[in-house]
Amino acid sequence: MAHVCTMIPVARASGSRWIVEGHGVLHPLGRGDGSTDEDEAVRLRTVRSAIDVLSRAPEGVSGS
Amino acid sequence: MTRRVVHYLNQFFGQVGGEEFAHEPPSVREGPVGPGVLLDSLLGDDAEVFATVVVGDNHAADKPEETVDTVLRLIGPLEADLVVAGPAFNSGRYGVSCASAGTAVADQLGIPVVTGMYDENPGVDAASGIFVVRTGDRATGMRAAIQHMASLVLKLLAGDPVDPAADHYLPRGRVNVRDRRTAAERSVDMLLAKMADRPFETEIPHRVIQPIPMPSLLTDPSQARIALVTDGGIVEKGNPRHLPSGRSTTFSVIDIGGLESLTSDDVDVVHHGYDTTHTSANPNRLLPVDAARRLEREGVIGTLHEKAYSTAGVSTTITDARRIGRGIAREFVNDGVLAVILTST
Amino acid sequence: MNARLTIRRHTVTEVVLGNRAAFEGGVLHVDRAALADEASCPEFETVTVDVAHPGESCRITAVFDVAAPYAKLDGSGDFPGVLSRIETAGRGTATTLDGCVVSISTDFPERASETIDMSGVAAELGAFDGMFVVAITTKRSAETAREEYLRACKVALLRVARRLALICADSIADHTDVVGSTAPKGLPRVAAVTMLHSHQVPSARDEPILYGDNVRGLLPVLLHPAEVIDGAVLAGYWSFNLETYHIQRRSLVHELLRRDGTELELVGVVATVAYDTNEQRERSTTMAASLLEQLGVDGAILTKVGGGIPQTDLMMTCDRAAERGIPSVVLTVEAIRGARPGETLSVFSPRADALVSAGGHDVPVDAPAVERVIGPPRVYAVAERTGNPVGPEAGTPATDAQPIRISEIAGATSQLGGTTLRSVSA
Repeated sequence: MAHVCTMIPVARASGSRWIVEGHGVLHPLGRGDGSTDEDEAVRLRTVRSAIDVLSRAPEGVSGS
Repeated sequence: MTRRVVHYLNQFFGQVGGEEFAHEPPSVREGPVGPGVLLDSLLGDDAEVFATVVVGDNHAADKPEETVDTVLRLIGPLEADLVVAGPAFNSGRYGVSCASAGTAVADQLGIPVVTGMYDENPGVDAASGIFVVRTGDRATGMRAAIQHMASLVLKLLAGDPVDPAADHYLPRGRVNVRDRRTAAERSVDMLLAKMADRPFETEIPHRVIQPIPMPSLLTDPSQARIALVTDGGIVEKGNPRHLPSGRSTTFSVIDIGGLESLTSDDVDVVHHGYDTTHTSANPNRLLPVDAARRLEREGVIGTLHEKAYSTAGVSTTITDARRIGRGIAREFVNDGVLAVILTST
Repeated sequence: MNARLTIRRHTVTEVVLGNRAAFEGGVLHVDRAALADEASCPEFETVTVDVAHPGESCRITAVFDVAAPYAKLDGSGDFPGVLSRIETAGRGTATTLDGCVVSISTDFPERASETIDMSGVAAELGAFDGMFVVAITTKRSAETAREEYLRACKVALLRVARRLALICADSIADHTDVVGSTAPKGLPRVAAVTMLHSHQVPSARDEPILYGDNVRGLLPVLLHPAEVIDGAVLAGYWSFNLETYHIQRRSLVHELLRRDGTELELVGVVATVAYDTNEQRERSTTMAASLLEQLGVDGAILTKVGGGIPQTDLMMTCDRAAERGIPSVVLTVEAIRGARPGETLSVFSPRADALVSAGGHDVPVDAPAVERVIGPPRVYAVAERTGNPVGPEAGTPATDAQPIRISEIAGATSQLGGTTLRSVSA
């Protein structure tokens, strides 16, 4: 499981290990202030990163 | 009237045999066995150990759900007033076995449960809604452990008040009390002590995080079935099942089969812990159906699973969260899902 | 500590609603029509003023905020940035009432709406037990947007709070508090780090929190404690267990002021907000710790608003302060229902070794049936207040005996530390 989230310390406290940083509590996969294109681009990048994390299991938190 | 106590033991203390019998499936026999004999005598005339359930440590460890189901079926008809499990001291498998079985008995049969183990036994974390008497880490402390357990059992059966400190069990929860000082006063007192290197006592205990075992890597995402989950509170449009906006005890299943993207025509967002404006406007921000569908088309992932799952993860207890997670995971295993992307707010 | 604020307190033993305003021998006579007029504005279709008496079988519902009656007497601004022009608060002379508060109710409960019971177990747990409550109820006028309505409620509350206090302007004070003295050298230097808002629910454009500002982009700023209690800081719209009353009268800042000059030197109050993105959170907590270091504090006490998400900001601030050699105490409520010891906070830091509990906010209390209700006649579960469809059968009568959570009993606990509720392991 790859965990996309913003509150990373909370995720770690639950035992989550494969973490991809989200884009804010209010819109973890997207941008609240960007255009639709930017919103989708951010989302695509993050999901690609999540798939990558699932097969590589890197240490630490992955950015996107 | 003599109250009926069932004792739960592993293969060793249940006198079936040593480690080579650790795969022993659950069985029940009449009367006390092993340490149950001491327990029975300490219960006096008020209660008796009238049956003993024996479960091999490895059976419990390898087949946890099957074990619990069988134990519930064995204990259910026995009309027990209380169940005692262990003590397990510092044996991890035994402790988890006692705690898991005990938790299920308390939760599903409504029978009070007393177990016993060392503070650091991983079974402590698996115990919920039952009494865990604190023991030493070795079986040489059996007598003292059984004495404390028996004493607590008698109090519980009599309906007498019990207390973690006096009755030697781990605190089970947190309760509200009124202090004579305000939180502000206590904060200043505590800071003055901390700054002066004087001893002080923190008021909120830390949780010891039990590490979750690392799953195996996804070797080839392009062949894998990948599923999406979120705790951001997505529900079916109109929330037909009236799922709550927090304190969740269950999950929703969202059919995303054939969808290129998730819109507010398909789902609603119900969650009172954050402002849901952005996620309601575009639910892909919680369940990235559009991005995942694109990766499916590109062949980066094999298949986007047709069912997505969600719950509202605010004020949800850890016990319920575990149950929800297990429930969702079970469905994934049945459906051949290999990996999951979980999105949290 | 060089601001000097004198607060004259008058003890109210009875409140009488009538057609004149006077304070005679502890009895507060309130001109009901004038007070309703004071609260009126185009955003309200109707506004009513009532009085609830301590011990009465009465429940006030959909309480949006509670304030202590308060007015400045020296010509300086009341609640600067909201009722008056912006000027530095925390100086001059003010008048306030003891034993009497003002509440304002919306016409439908908000997410963090509270209840004030005047008798019974919920009253005993609340902060206003034994006090008179001048209760304002409002109805939003058509075409008024929700945010405009909430702002109008906040302003109406403060106007009535001021008006009531002014009734006692010429009376001799029963007690006088003086804030501001110079602490002798050598005492430990202490600061409070006070979170004013958490943007997991972004503040409204006109939401007045700090000198009337919506604190949307607030980076840590140093305030004088006298400013905080003299009307510069108000409770935001949405956090539970946070009322303007506590900011004014009963908080960590008050406790620190009480001990300032004898056990510690209160350096100031660092005001912060919690953000929803990690970048902003890093920036805010780093700057808060850096400010503490620059101030040369020997220790800090951190408080928050909201629930689990802002606990991360607390823990991060604690960590960053510790990295700079500054020990801290963290004060927070817990979520205890169904939780085992160790599971009541959403996040811990190993350096947060000094935690103070403000109690479990999610525990329900069985409140009794009541004869009289002030405010909307039905009560609703939180789920029904957050945009889910609400039909006519929704909710239950407010007169019913019902469970009310600690987070919904006004003042049953306070995230600013002014109450005695606490959780212990059992």
